[in-house]
Amino acid sequence: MNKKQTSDFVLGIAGNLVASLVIMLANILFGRFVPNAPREVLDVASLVLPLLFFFMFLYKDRIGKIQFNPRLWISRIRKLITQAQQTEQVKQFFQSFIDSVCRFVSQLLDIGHQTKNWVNYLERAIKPSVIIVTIITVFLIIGCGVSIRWLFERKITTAAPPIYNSYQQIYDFLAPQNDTP
Amino acid sequence: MISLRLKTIPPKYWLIIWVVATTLLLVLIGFFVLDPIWKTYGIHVPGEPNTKVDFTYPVDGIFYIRNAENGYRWSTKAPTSIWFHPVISWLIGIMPRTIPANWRYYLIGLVSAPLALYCVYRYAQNVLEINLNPKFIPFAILIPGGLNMAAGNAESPSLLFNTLIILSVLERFPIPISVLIGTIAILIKPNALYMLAPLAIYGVYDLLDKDYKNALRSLFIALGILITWGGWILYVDYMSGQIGAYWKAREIATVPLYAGFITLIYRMVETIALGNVGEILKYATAFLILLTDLWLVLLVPFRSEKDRLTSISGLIMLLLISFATSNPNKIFVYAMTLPSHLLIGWVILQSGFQSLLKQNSLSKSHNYLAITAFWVYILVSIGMVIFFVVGTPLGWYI
Repeated sequence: MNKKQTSDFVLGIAGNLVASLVIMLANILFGRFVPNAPREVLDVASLVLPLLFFFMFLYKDRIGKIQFNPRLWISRIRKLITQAQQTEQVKQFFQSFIDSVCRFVSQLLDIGHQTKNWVNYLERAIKPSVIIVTIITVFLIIGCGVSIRWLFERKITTAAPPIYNSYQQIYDFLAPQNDTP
Repeated sequence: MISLRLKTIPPKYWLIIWVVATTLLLVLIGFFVLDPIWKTYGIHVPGEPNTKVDFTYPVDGIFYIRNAENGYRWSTKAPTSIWFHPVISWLIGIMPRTIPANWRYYLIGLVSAPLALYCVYRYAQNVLEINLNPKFIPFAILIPGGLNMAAGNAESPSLLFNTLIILSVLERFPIPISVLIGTIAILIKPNALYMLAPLAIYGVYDLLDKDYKNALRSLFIALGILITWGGWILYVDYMSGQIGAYWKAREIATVPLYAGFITLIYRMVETIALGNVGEILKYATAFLILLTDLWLVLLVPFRSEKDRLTSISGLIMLLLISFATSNPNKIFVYAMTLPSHLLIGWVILQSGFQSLLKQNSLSKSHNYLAITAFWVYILVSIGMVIFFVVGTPLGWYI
């Protein structure tokens, strides 16, 4: 195993694989059970969702630091209600709410400034080889999903060429001239 | 006493010892496993109801043999003759006629196998960051498609020359010899076309590194392959008296693109839903082998990213040719004509064993990754061995 370039990008691709499988399944299920649903949405999602997974992986450190703690918010509200005057309560509630939202948004925006993670990742993982393998994997999986959906919908009307039991049948058909010398 | 004697053997001889041991193992498997099992099927070779299949000429081996014995039948009405490139038939033709033709065919494959294994090991030494232990060479039999080397086949000579093409760039063989290797490779099988992408990548990297001579070497080999291929196509057309005869003969193996560029994938899905066991396994294994290799190649410790890219590009060429014909015909054994297919297997098996025996200095997460890759690979490989033994006479992957 290579110490320099292993687990990180493998996890990144694993994320894409999971996303692609989810889309593939969604494609199949929509095709099977919701015949008139706008399936093109899924085809677009086929492109977006894997990328989203990849993005989440790139920023996983930063995303992990985001504090999303509704219990803390509720305890603050409770404190406000029990301790302050009514007008003050409303004022403080909104202030607290806006502060929390601002903090959450700024944390989200901070993700974009996380250049260290990018550099790290670019150095360690994002190589052309990884991108190529990811694209092929996603393409094959999504292709399977779309094909299964087509199969259910019978979108392809052209007659499929015969599927032989084996090429030995073709060989036998083509090679009667192979007389033993 | 024996272990002391073994320790006195210089390391460089171990490579030869393990290559020879692998060849002996291949012979034993051919005679005592494949032959008895395949004879129980009682199946005849294609086109000849009175000639029963045995391990010396399974699948399409008979066509090389008949081309050698009867000569080419230059007509699109005999596609099973003009499908095949000439070197193997020439070799069968020049070997002593006292040996039956099917055994001559078997011997060509058997002699090529150790030479190919030696060359692939040398390729591994050139591109890997780690030392590959030669005792892993016999595991080539377990690597998907590797068991093919135990039967009569044209893939082993193809693997030998495809590896020599890569080695000629890495080890800077003289340009005329490099071109000759490329020429012979394409005249053995069209599988030499897989090497065009790796040659292009090495060429571009050498160009960027201002190593113009080596870039030129890659270019000349690629041109040698293409010009020779073109020459053979024209020769087939000329001898058949029909322009496009070479391609017309191949039309039977090419499926129309009725589902656009994902026809092959659609066919796979359609086959899995509606086809028989053989067809299902043919498609499933074709994709499984390619995907396994593509994923595992990311874990291989190459010295340079260009080596990883060349390995991937070879696999992509295999995939693209299948997409172009919409047919996963023989991907299972054709993967064996790519030197990186063997290399990936050896590295994954070695890393896995080392991690299981705790003989490496990898971190806990890397060890876990190595062991997971190892078990996945072992499972796929065992499945592929069973698939090869059961499916070859039934034509499951052709």
